[in-house]
Amino acid sequence: MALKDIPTVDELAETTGQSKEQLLKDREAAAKMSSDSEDE
Amino acid sequence: MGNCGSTNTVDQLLGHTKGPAEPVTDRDLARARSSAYIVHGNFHELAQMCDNISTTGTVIVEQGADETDVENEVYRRVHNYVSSLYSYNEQIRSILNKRLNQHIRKGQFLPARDDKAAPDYARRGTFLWGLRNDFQHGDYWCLKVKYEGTQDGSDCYQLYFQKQDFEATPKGDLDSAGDYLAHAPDEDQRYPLPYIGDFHRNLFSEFENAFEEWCSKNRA
Repeated sequence: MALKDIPTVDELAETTGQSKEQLLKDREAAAKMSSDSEDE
Repeated sequence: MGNCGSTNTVDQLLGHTKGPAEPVTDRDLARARSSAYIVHGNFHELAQMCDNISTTGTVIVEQGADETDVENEVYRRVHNYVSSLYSYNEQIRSILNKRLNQHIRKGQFLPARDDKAAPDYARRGTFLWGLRNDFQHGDYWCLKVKYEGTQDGSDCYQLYFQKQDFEATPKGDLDSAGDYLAHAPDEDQRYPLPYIGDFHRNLFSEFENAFEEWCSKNRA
């Protein structure tokens, strides 16, 4: 089994209507939150 | 709520334009943004299964797919979307409560049926909050996935909301299950996928931007 079809920020911008700039901030925050939880 | 002379949805929700009383931290913003990213990702999964989620909301499936599998997958994706939206709203409410000198109740996100001044984000979101609450009972009886025919080698399905089977528990400023349905016409709620399509692309993204703008008034 493999994790497939992970949406890119460009694809998310197209489907969600949110700006690419905001989605990049969201993506970075999601990565930060997951790395912070690993540190705890 | 609503009438505070501001175009910012968070100001409208709070009823004033004063912004955060305490500085908003990087951690607050990271929480809100990461939560929003999950909502966007779950919306993407819903949109990907439709020909056009904002208009017809027709679910397109490989010809011959098992109907039960299609039904379960549609419910799973709707469940994930409305659950993540609920979590996002609760994150925002928690940040507002930390950074304001006023208590923000659930009712500000779940306006009473006669509260026509509440922002559209809260009013239209009330139906989606109700779906999430109804799902907590462990079933999806208020939803129905129906096969609508085959076109161009694919099977087509539609998701319907069945008002008579809706049994959500009232929360916030709501008095009855029916209050979850009071802020949008029956015809809109009958088709949950286009409802979500319109909500997400217009109101959710706009609310996220409004929250960013609200936070920028007082940053740590």
